[in-house]
Amino acid sequence: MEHLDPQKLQSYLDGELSGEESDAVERILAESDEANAVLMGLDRVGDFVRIHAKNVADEVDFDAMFREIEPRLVEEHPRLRLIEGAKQRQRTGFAVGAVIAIAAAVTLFFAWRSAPSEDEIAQHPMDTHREMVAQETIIEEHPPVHINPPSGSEVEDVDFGENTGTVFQVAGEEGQPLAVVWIDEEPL
Amino acid sequence: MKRSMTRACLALLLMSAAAGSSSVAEAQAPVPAQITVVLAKETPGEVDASLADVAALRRPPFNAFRSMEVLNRDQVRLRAGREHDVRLPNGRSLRILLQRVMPDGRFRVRVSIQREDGSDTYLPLLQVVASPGDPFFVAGQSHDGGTLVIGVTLGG
Repeated sequence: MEHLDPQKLQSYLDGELSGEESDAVERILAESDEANAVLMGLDRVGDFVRIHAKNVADEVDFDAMFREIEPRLVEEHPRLRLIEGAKQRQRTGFAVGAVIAIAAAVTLFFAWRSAPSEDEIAQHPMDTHREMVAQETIIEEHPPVHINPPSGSEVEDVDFGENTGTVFQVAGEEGQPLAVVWIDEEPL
Repeated sequence: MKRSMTRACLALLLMSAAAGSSSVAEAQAPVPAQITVVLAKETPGEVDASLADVAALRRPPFNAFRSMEVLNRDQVRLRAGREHDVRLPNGRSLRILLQRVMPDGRFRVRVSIQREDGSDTYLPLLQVVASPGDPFFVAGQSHDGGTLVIGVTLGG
């Protein structure tokens, strides 16, 4: 029979062994009364230690103990810093302030943006809502693209009534198409 | 405090209404239009000097006419949504309605020709989109041995 180290049994009791190690311990415990007796003894000692520690802890002033330790921690480890909740709140305050400042700057930019000039308005006389002017004010890097409207005239719809007729186009002075509606007065 | 706030709000309301009405007035500014009525005949004759520069009237089918006489030339100012009647030499009336000024500056107009007694429409509907200064023509009505050619030009 394999002899079990008491420390291994204690580790088994504490749940610190891997799966394979636990299986090996359990195989030995299944075959050895001596190993089981040692295990039970360790378990009773563990219970005794836990109960006694609880009783002792109720009588110990841990705050006073930490106050004695703290100065030595800083003295022996000067890089260690106490991070208090107040400092964390300061960082959060700075972040909120930065967000508010950015939002205020953006609002002021749009509020104080210069109104369109008379020249800009004259370029778009039909833009009564000043949409084109507003777009040109914002888009500064890209020059406006002027699209010439189609010239000439065109028929969209016609009803000759009792007559018949023809719709066609003739060329104007500059070659632009000009609409012609020719009524044929012969009745249907 | 409440009264001063109310007055301030009313003042702002009046100012915004005034600004809005001025922009609406700009959008509805009258559009100048010229309606020229020409009597064209196939018999040889004179062509009105004012028509010599109208290239369209030198092209087919208008070039079949050997004489052209301007019977009437009306200068009118059209307002969007308002009809305007022009009396024709044959007793009928040309009714023109400026429907709207399009964002690209062109004009959408509706034209009809009313009969002499107003009982019926000779030409019920003609809807045209025209660029400023570019005419459209309504031709074909017989009159006095010739043919009426009506040229309509807006803006320009």
